[in-house]
Amino acid sequence: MFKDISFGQYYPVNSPVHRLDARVKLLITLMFVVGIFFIKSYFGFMLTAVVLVLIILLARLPIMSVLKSVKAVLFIVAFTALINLFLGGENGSEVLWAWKSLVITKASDHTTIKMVLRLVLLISGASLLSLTTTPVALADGIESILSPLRHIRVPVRDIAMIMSIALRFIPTLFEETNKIISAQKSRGASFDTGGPFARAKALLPVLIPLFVNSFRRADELAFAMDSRCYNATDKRVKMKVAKIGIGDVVALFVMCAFFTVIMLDRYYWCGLVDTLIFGGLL
Amino acid sequence: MSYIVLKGVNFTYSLGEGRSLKALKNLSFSVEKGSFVALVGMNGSGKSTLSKLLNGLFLPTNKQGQVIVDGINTKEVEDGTVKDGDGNEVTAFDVRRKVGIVFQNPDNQTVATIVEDDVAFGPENIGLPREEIVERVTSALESVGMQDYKDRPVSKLSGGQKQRVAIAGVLAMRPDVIVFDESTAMLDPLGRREIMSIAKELNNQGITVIMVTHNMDEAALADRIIVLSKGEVALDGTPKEVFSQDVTRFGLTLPPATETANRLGAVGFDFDGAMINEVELVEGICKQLR
Repeated sequence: MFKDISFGQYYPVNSPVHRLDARVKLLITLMFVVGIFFIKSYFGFMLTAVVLVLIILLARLPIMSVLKSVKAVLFIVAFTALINLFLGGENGSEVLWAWKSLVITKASDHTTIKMVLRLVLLISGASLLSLTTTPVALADGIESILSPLRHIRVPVRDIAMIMSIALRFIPTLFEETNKIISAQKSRGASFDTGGPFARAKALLPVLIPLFVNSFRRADELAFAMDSRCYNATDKRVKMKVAKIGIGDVVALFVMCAFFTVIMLDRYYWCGLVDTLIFGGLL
Repeated sequence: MSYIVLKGVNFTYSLGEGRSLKALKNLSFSVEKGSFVALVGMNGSGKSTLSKLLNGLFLPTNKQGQVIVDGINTKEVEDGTVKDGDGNEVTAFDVRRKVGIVFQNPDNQTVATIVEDDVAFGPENIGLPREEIVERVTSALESVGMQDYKDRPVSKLSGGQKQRVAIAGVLAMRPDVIVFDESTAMLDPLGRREIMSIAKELNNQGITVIMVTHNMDEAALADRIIVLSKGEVALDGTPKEVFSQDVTRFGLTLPPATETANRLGAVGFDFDGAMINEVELVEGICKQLR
């Protein structure tokens, strides 16, 4: 049931992308995500897709592992596409197809394609982060980026610990969910018949034991952490210290270049490249 | 000498609405340094509560009750008034460094995703120098035979392997005592054997082992068995002494070897005391067949 979700699923291979500092990867992902929202032209999407594929190749990830995370949000993408297709038209745009009050215009056509491209690239880009970075490295990276907030008494260490424990328990809870589902099925429960409401209702007997067990787990984990001297004070040290290497600098540089091109394309070239490449096709 | 001393310990759980549950009643015993003690009893006998008292996770709920670990009273460290010889404050952390606990559920005691990060959790907490953490993690993983798995996610390991990682996590604190709080209860027979042989090996290296269990075969490996019943010590002695008594009245079973010897006794065999394992049983039978 949940096997398609690749969130928090680290893909362990040794690649230049995996070796990058988590902070750098967080920053790069942030730039990538922000960049995607500034794209207006097809050239921009093309460039982003090329960059994405290059990163995937460099990270030695199977393309399926990335597409899996897109599959998980396919419904949202399709829904957004439909809404945009029928309602995203501008007045005065050339009408391509009309039936009663449903109208597809040339403008809504383009918005839809761009919206789908944007979502797919966004999800794939974001999933690259969790595929190439261990949850611990990720939590450490976030802790390090947020550490200046300690001065205004934000409990950064606790927040980082909470995050890494949450990530650590994702596989455990998935496994448990599947076990509970099997147990309920063996007693005659049905999860894949009936309408959406019946299905949602059928999940209740799964969620309740899952919640109860989670509280019990939390209690036991707290004892285990206490008995191993957990504290979130400055006394705590880290075994692994992240260092910014030459690869990190190169990666940041490349990402800045990408970001600059996206910005130039939007505010300076204003779709000029699109016309040059695609000409009359649009 | 006695490493852990309990004096008149009561422990009461508050159940709300003025109701309470007495888990331990006036418990007193001591554990010698380097010994291998099995703590047995049926469900609800208070053994898990007791193991949490041994490193200060729980404190005795009565005023006179005391748990003293290597000379440190677990109650006093909570006030922050205890000082060591150099005038440094002795804290609850010092008690927990001395007494580590391996819990029952392998999934609920792993903090980090990756094996070596989890083993490093304890040493990181007590703020050791980085080189020493690495050194301790490596040697702890080696002593449980998990060094080849150090980069693996814990979730991909078997139950027995997860418990070995949990033991390594405790070992990395270099404790004097390890409490196994039913650490084998959720494992398959192979996993159980692995954990027991590690426990025995650590005991040979001088670590005091306290094994909380309701598997009598495991208890029979100890130097001393303490039987808890309804929050009190019911029996206390060597396996031979304990198993020559009727332990079924405390909700326990006898180890298979002892049980077999008892039945053979009923048909005319005569054994010298309780037989606690197969080897003794076989030797005992052979002597009489001659």
